[in-house]
Amino acid sequence: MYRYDEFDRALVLERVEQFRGQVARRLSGELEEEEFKALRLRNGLYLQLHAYMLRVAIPYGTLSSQQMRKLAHIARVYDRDYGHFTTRQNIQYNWPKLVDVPDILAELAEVEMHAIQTSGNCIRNVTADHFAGVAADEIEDPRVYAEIVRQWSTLHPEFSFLPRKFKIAVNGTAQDRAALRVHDIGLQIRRNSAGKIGFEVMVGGGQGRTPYIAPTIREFLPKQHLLSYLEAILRVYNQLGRRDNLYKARIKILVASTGVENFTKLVEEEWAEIKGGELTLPEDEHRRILDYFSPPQYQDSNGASKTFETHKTWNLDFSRWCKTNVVSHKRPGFSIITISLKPIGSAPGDASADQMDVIAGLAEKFSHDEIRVTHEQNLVLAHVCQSDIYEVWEALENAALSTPNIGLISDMITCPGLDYCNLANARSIPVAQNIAKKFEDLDRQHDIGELKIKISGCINACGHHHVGHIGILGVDKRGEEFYQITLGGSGAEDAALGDIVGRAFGYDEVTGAIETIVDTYVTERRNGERFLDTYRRVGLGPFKEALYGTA
Amino acid sequence: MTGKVATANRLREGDIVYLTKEGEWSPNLQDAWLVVGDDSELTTSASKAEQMRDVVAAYLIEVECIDDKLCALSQRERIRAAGPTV
Ligand code: HEM
Ligand code: SF4
Repeated sequence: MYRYDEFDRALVLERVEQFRGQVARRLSGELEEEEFKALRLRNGLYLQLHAYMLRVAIPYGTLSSQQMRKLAHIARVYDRDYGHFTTRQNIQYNWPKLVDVPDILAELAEVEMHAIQTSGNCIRNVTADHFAGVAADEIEDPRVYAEIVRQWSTLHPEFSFLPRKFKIAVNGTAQDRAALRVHDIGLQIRRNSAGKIGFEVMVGGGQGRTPYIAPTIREFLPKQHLLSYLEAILRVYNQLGRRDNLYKARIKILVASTGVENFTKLVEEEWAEIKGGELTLPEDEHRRILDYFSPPQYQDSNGASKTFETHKTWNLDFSRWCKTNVVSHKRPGFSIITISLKPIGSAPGDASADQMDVIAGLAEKFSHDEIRVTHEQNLVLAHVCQSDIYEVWEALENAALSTPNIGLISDMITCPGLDYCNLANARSIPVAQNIAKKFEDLDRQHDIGELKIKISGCINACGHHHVGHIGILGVDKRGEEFYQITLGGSGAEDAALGDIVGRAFGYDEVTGAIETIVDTYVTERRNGERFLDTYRRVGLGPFKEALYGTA
Repeated sequence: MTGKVATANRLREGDIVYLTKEGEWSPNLQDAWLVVGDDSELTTSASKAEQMRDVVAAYLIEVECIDDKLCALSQRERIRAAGPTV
């Protein structure tokens, strides 16, 4: 697993002490709030609806048991006993006190963690497939490239004052689990016909008030040219991106207004000047980073898969959980376990301090000391020997962490909404809870099959509603909460933006509307179609009719 | 009867507070100084407290007084006053 090198450690410690001084100067009056605000945001500290909020980075969403225990400790000592895992593979604490934050940051630094770069107009932490390095069909481990990009971009002088924040994602399998096409840059690792490894480069995706699906500007970029090509894209953006209007400053707006063809041409021209120069990835540097991510030493266990199968036939609850939460691993005899943070009726993505400790213990004992955070707000144990899965499940069951719903209707992405967020129009969490309760029956969930509901409390789209199979967006109508529903979105390899189904629903109506939509799908579907496939075949018509009585 | 009260967050801790008639900041909306009509004095007191670094992000909100109870008009401020609904 990746470890900070000495340079980073010194840098992080220096930043903590700097921030300690800044907090002291704010409290003594030497710094005004205006000046201080910019400084605290760079250290991941926001002022939210109820309190300060601290956003801690989890680079490529990977934590050691020790780090997870530290997160639990911080929740217990400095916060209200829980943390919230987000779609950007960060953790947010909702109740830290300003005076404690320097100590929290110092404690994080002890385990090589920080909150730097989680805000501001810089390149944000780079995300990767949460099954990186273990997925059975992976071409190459995307985390290696995420790390290369991170090292290049951290505090890159030219790119710390971009027109707007900038988000990059990398994926290495055919299935896109990193939501590439809604990132500023999406990098899909591909193997070309000559067997060489490179990237399909997608630019200009995003959500928010003007959502775009990123077009591909290069089908294949040989991997050694990754950084020079990214630099070319960023230079074009830095020169031409709009700084006059916050909402038009994202690269997606530039790509759309310049036109994909033109934009591509500009990038290629810029690239021609720097290609092959000092940004070319040296093979030994590549190796060095590759070593950080070398796979753990797997200890095979005799008859592992047999024990696993036996338990499945004995225990129905276990076998159901396996069906949704356990997937196959590169290495025979091992599995990848997804721990759902979506128990029916809880806040999606929240984990208590005690739960974090349980998960840390399980990772240490059964999964090579590693925990991953998914953008769907769940956690992953990526290297579990099949003979241990039953024991892991029992421990999860005891900690209320064994909800068997990954990929099903109750596994929703949900932003904090009006219960926590300063910018919200409407609540998200209780909407998710009401829907989960409505569809609590597991047989019904399985019958409905893969269905991704995503909920945002405002147009900033932190809950990815544009790319939900069913998207729910909170809007404000004269001080009251309303919800606009979209259908047919996807953030995966078949990326699409959802279509608005019609007029918005009130808080008390929205669960019923979702049920109507699901029932309509069940009536319309043909042999084994997913919700998304049925929608794409039949369109809005039947859903509109069922909801509003008009075709 | 509707009027205005001043709210903010404590600078050191971040807790939500409301300005009382005595010029203190209370975590309880019911303690707030309700001003009907000219709210300039409320604004002045609130920004003074910001300058004194007791609180941060002060602003006025609309509230309704029903049976001697203060209730914020907007859903946002109701949730702020009562805490998360979940
Ligand atoms: C509660 C405090 C939060 C605030 C104030 C906040 C604010 C914002 C804002 C203003 C944007 C839009 C930026 C833009 O379009 O340029 C944004 C985007 C985003 N936020 Fe948040 N957010 C919060 C929490 C979260 C959480 C908890 C998550 C994860 C569940 C999240 C995930 C995202 C993502 C993925 C985007 C990118 C959407 C895009 O591509 O434009 N945010 N956020
Ligand atoms: S989508 Fe809106 S309400 Fe939800 S967290 Fe983001 S900014 Fe807040």
